[in-house]
Amino acid sequence: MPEAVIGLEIHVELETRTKMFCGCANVFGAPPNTHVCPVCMALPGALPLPNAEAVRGAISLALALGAEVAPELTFDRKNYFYPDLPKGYQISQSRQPLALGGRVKVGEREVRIHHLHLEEDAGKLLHLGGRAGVDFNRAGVPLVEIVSEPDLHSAEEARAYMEEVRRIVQHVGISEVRMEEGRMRADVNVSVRGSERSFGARAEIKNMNSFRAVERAVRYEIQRQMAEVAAGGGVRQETRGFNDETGETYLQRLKEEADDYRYFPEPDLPPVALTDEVIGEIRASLPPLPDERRRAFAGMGIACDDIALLLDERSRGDLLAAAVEAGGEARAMANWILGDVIRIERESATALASSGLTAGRLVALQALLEKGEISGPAAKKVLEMVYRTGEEPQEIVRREGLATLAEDELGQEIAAVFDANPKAVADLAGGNEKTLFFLVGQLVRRTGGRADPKRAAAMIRERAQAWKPPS
Amino acid sequence: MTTDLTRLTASALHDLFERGEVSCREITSAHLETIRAHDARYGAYLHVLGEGALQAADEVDRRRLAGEEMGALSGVPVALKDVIVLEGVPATAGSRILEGWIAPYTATAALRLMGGGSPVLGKTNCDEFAMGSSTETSAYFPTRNPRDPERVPGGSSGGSAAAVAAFEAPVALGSETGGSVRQPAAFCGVVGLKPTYGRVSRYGLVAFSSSMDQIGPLGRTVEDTARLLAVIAGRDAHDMTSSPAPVGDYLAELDRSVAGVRFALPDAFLDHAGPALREATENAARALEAAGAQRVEIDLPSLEFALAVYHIVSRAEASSNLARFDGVRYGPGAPADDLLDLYLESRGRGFGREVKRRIMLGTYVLSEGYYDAFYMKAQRVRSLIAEDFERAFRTADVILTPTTPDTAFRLGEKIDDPMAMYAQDIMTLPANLAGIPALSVPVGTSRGLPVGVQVMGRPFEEGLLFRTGRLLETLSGEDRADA
Repeated sequence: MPEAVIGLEIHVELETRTKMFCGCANVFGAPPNTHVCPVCMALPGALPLPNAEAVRGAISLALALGAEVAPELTFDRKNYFYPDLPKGYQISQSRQPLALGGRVKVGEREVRIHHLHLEEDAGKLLHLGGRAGVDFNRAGVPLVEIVSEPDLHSAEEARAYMEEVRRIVQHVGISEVRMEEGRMRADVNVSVRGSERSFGARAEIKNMNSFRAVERAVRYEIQRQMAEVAAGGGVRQETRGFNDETGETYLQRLKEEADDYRYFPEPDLPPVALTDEVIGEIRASLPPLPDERRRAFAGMGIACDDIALLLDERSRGDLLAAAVEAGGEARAMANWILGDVIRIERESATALASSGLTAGRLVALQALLEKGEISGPAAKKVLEMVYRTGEEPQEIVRREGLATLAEDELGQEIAAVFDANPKAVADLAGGNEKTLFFLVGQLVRRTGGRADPKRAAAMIRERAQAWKPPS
Repeated sequence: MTTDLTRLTASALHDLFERGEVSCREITSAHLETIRAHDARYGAYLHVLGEGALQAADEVDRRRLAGEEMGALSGVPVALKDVIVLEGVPATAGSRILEGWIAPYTATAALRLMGGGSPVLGKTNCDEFAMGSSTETSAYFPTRNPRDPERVPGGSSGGSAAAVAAFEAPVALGSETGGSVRQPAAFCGVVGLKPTYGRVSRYGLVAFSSSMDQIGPLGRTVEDTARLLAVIAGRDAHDMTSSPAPVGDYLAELDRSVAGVRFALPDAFLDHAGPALREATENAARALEAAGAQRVEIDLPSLEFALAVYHIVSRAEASSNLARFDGVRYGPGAPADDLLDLYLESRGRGFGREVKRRIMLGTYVLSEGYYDAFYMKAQRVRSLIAEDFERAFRTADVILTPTTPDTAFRLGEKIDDPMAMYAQDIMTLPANLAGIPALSVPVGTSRGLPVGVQVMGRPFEEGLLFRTGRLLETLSGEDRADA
């Protein structure tokens, strides 16, 4: 039975303050050519300077992947002509990548990393109705390329691997990896093994920027190659593109036409020693990584699927870990995060990490709920306000008057609901349990969430028996 | 008065300015007038700043009156080779491909000059992208040697050397990759220095071969040249290859004797020189000995490969450095139907023959399958040459050689014979390969044409070169303060 062999080259843009070799701001979505300078526009005479923040970031990622960091930082020029490449060469690393080796756990499988290297991004071509333009804002943005060994064997695995790499990058804190901004892109090598006609020749599918695209492209490509082999043809060494609309890959060019990039050492950037001291310091400051979190959260009794969701954004795991640290009960905290917090974040323009919600506030909110001082619906309301404003939950409860109603207040409100719905009360007294939910709903609405539904239900049931409609 | 000012050395002009006897405006306008009167004959300048230079001079005068401390050449205007960019001023590097381009930023060396109180007079002519030894590959016009207008001024910094020799600038900056400051200095009878690699920032210097390029000063005296280096030398955060080594006190060095200095006169260089140059160099050696310097023998076994290594490394780097001239972001570009057309038209029309020749050679030596045989091997031999010098400098403090194989040749004489032109660099390019400093000093004439000798030294020992050069410049018998 033929087997698919898959390897990925993942490019991640680092979210440094400035670009890789100049002082221009590294920002996404600015008007074209507003973040450019002599260096990233490749004006005559301009020289590159490596960005220490980017180098440190890339080393952090290398260490997080368990890779061996090179003894020195060296750069090479990769020469080719394209309008989005201002210098006519890309400053990259070929002789001595920043780091070698490393591993990523994908489920039960360990995917080996071949190497990781640092380079600069190119600009972006713009099509302006019959004319072409180039936006150089992205030119010179630091880019890390992570090249895996061909250790993956299915479309699902390829996707899971890419998702895990994204989690690791995000946890390391060097990029939010916003997929919609094209911050992570992948080239995927696919070949089919175990058939003598395949010769192990591989196709490289270039430049995909979503997990879904990678999964679909790999699935299509495996089928295509198997069909080629089954039909008696062979698989050629070729570069292919992926069409998101049809879900198919298509031939871009055969490898015989391969470029000669004429790599040579970048003479403008002499080697810089990466001392054990510097690497040790970066290693010591590494934040908790997904795998560590995964084990910790599993130990807290959180379900596997929930953990994956928690790790998809580092801010979620950060909040959970800190809330547990602050005395919160793990599952209760996780439920808040996986339910309301994710929903509020999605509906809001503010990311969780920069919202007003802290671990202390989440723990305080849960405590108010558990002590019965606020109701469930009121707690949700308070959470939204905390997220928006960063006020303390107690303060919001006090100001907004959200505290649970006292016994006598609740009695009065129930009486008012009964007065307005005599038939429902009679039905309930007659044993129709369905009307209980209706009456509780009416009460919750009337009190604006200040009534605890459980307590209210008990009281309604009890008082319905004794109730006499007003005459 | 104004015509007299151009005949003074930069050091003398600086003194007059410091004492308040002459304003920077007077000095600058005297030079602008000389340029207007004579430059049509020599073609030293591609672009003269005129009013801009005078405004800068007024600012320097204002600063002096405000008691501001300026540099070792305050009040003295300079000329810049057109490969050094200056904000708001055209920079062509002698090429059509940059015709009409106005630089939007300023090179560090130029910035330091302006900060030091030196207005820029203009941009001087040069071989296209500094590729040539006669200034004849300039896309605009050739420069003529002020000592004999039928002859070339040398190159590629021929415009800078001619400007200084013709009193159209007191001092000038050129640039070097394989002798482009020293050879024209020798041909025009002025002093020229290639500093240690990393001594002067390359930021804003249009790149030819990044691992060898270096901006260098030219002057009519060793002291003028030393002062100019003092202003531009030193670490620059914009150039990672610039060195943090402290800048020496060059002026203090000038007055020290050469007694006890060990110098070598290797046959490996002398063998390439014509009789006039041999004689001048041996004469210089005798003068050094007479002053108490001690002659020693050294061995430079790998030197015979220097020319080949230089050609491979410099062409390889040039092919990559010149890739940015693609017609997309600056320069005239060319209307084109598709991308390939844009490249072919822009580069095909924009570059001259010599530049194209070098790009092709460089592309070839970096190509897959040839890289190891050419580029890698050349880099290994380059290390051997550098080691040769390192070893030689344990025995000798300086190495004395002719600067050129011969005196200035006629316009058109070698332009169609690239190999003959390349041989011009045989004496000078080893210093670029090894990254060491080298000074060319005029020591007299042969049949009316200037003869220059070269002094090479250890990295960052420019001071010792100036000290040695100061003695050698007395041999010419010319008073370059008023030739």
